[in-house]
Amino acid sequence: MTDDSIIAQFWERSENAISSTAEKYGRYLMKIAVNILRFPEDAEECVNDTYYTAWKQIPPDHPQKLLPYLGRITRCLALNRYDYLTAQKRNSDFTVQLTELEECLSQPETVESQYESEELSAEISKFLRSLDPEKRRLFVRRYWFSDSIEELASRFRMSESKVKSILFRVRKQLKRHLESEGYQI
Amino acid sequence: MNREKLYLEIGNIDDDLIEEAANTYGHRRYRSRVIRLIGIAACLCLLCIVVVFSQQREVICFNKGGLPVASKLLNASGEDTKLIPIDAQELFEYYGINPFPSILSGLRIVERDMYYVYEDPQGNRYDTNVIQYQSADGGQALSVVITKENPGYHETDGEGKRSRIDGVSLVLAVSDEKSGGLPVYWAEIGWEEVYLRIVSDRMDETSFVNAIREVIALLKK
Repeated sequence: MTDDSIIAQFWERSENAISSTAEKYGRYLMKIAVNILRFPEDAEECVNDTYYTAWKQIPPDHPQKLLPYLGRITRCLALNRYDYLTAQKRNSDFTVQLTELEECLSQPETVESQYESEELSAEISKFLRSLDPEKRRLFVRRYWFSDSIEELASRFRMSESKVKSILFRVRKQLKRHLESEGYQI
Repeated sequence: MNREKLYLEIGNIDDDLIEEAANTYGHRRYRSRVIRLIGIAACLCLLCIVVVFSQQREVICFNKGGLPVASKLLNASGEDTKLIPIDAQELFEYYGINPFPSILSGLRIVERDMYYVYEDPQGNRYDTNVIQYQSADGGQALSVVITKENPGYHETDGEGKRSRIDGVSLVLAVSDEKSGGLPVYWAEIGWEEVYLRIVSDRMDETSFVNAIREVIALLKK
């Protein structure tokens, strides 16, 4: 089933929209949620909340592509849930990912943002387009899909140390790029 | 900004970048499978080439050696050993090889009425026979010693560098001692259950190697 057909079902308020979405993107969304939350039961709740949120937001939203749209909702919900979970239950791998991203930050978190959120995302997109495709995919798989280093090594047929080394260099490049464009984050 | 906010900002990157990364696995897997298949095919081709060339390539390598010890080849085990006479046809049947031609490398066979195999009192048979070739003027000669019993030649005890003629492995040697101004060349060949030692007398190297080629062709026929 195409994205357009599923979106049409949402707009028609057809309950089939949820099952169609689950059939086509359930596995993707579950993977993203598990990568962040680790526990399948938490991830499943998060994915169900994604369907509910999508049901509430479409209409009025009319996404062009469902995978990024739904994925963003799942990431956002999973991150909120992650914050509420007890320290014992926290997914250490995802914590590592967030710690890695700290390397891209140059200011303490108390400093107020001096830019529009959309602008920063657009700048990150621009930076990613300047990378060679393999590095770009690796970065997106790590920080958008939240894949573990092990999964990335297997997916990209390279050693874990090479994955870590590439990601390290890309994070440094991203920081330099954002600073050169006047972003103090 | 904190790291969670940056994480969410990354979440808002362009859709096409996300879709590109989502489809990474299949593409990489396909590429690597194709590369692996090409690699396997290349290895198989290389293996075939190596096998074909190793079978076809002729390697001639003469080892330095003394004269072959003939006495070692003709040793009856005791007084009670019987000699059983056989004719030429029976001889080749006994050894399970094709009859040798009357002319080999331009040399004529020295006709013999009888060849022999030994039989000890326990009924065990063993043997050593010599087929001789000679030029018309008697100036050149070639002897082919055949035995079924492993004579402990270089061929079997691993001494000497090995040569290869027409895909058959053998040991070639040249003696320091000379006959008629030419060194004595000899070869040892193991063929199925038969061992052959071929010794030259006043033949040059090329004629000797040609004679060996003819013997090998005869064995393989």
